[in-house]
Amino acid sequence: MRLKDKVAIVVGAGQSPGEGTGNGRATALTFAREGAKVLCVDRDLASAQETVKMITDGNGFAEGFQADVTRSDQLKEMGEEAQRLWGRIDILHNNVGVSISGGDAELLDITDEAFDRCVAINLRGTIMACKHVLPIMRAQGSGAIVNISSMAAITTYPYVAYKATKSAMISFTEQLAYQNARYGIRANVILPGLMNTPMAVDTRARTFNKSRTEVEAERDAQVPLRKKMGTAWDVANAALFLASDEANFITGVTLPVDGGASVRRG
Amino acid sequence: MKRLQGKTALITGASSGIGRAIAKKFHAEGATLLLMDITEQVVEGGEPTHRILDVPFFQGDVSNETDVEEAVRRATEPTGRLDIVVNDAVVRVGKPLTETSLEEWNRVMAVNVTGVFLMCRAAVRRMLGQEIRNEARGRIVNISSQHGMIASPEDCSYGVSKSAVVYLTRQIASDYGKDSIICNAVAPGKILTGKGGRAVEPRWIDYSHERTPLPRLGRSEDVANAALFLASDEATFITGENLMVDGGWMAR
Repeated sequence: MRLKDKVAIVVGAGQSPGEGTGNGRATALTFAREGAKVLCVDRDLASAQETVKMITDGNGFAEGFQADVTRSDQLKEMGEEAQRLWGRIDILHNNVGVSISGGDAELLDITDEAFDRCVAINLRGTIMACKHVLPIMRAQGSGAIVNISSMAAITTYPYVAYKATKSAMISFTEQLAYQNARYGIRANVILPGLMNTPMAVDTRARTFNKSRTEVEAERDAQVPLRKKMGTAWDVANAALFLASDEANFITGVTLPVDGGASVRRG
Repeated sequence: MKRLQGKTALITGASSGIGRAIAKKFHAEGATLLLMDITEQVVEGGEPTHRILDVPFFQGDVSNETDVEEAVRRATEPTGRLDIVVNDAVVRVGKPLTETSLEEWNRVMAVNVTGVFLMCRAAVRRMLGQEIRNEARGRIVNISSQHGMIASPEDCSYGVSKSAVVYLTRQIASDYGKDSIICNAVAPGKILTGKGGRAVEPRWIDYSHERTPLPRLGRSEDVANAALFLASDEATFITGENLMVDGGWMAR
């Protein structure tokens, strides 16, 4: 088992309504399968608890925790809870992000409120989660952080806040990496491309009043590799690799998981 | 289940250093191997890799078209497939522009660029004729370098050659993605392979430590772990990428 005896926090371990498995849930399940104890954190506790149940039903270790990433005090409690439960934090996985569901829009249509909400969730949420977990990792002299940005950061994307916040996450992760390397802490960022997840597909189907099949077909056609979107498990596998000791010399890296879309750019 | 169980892999430059570490890792993970190198001698010393692992070895030069075609033919013999190719064979002269002879430049390009081209071409031709398995028809992992992305101090030809490998990787990924061929690169930072000479001169070691955020320099096994990830079924939606294994060098 590749994460044996490790303690992981997955922020955004629940998922949006829809079909199949989301990135956060797939990652929590993968970490647990590889032996980690996982604190499944979500704003929606019931959804986090569903993930916990899937893990414990498979004889893994997990607990649920309710936190809204826009609330720094709750992120602090999240770190304390993991330490209280299992005495350490080896892995922090920041998966929370919104675009359309946060009110994101094209520049001429975006409101101050929607922009601020997206920034608070996508960027400030990740940064503050790191802020509150870092002291624990520094005291241990080890830790691995995996942030989930998006291919949108480096390719074309229509809406303002998602593009800007996901780009900022790359710069933030690089800074996190070089400023904390001396403490034995690594930080890397994954850029998922077009994924077949509830958030990406079902949210669009609802918002644009299309069928799931229609949204799937449009997105599949844009992917260079096999003309097919990726799944949450592709992101989970990349997160597992970066979080594990196999990646002990990898830090500050941006890893697209996008079926070659960013190579082709458009 | 082992992570490369049932897969057939051909590794170039497999006798020493990073290539040797990749061969050991892939062997431990259940792959059927053919190792290729211009010599079975181990640069850092020790028993030849193929003897330790008890796997076939093909002595050949990656810049030679006939050798490359023969290596691919032999690699596919045991299973009828070629699932993975790792291009690790490399030479370097370690000289700045003004001191590099045309002969030296040509040799570096022949091995580091033409060698990768020849092997990728032979491998993709072969892979296109085989069935898709676990979402991939075949996979290529090229060993590039941080050099070519950032300056390779006083080693002009090496940096240029490695930059070409990164581009070739993207080109193959883009052109053959529709055929379910996956092509990625791993870019090592400063790796201590056990090789002596220029690689471990104090001025380069000190420079590397100063420049690498993580407290230690790299090991061949760090690169082998990344190659394993990209060669395995875990990485089926990653293609055209150049994965840095550099202790944070490029992030600074």
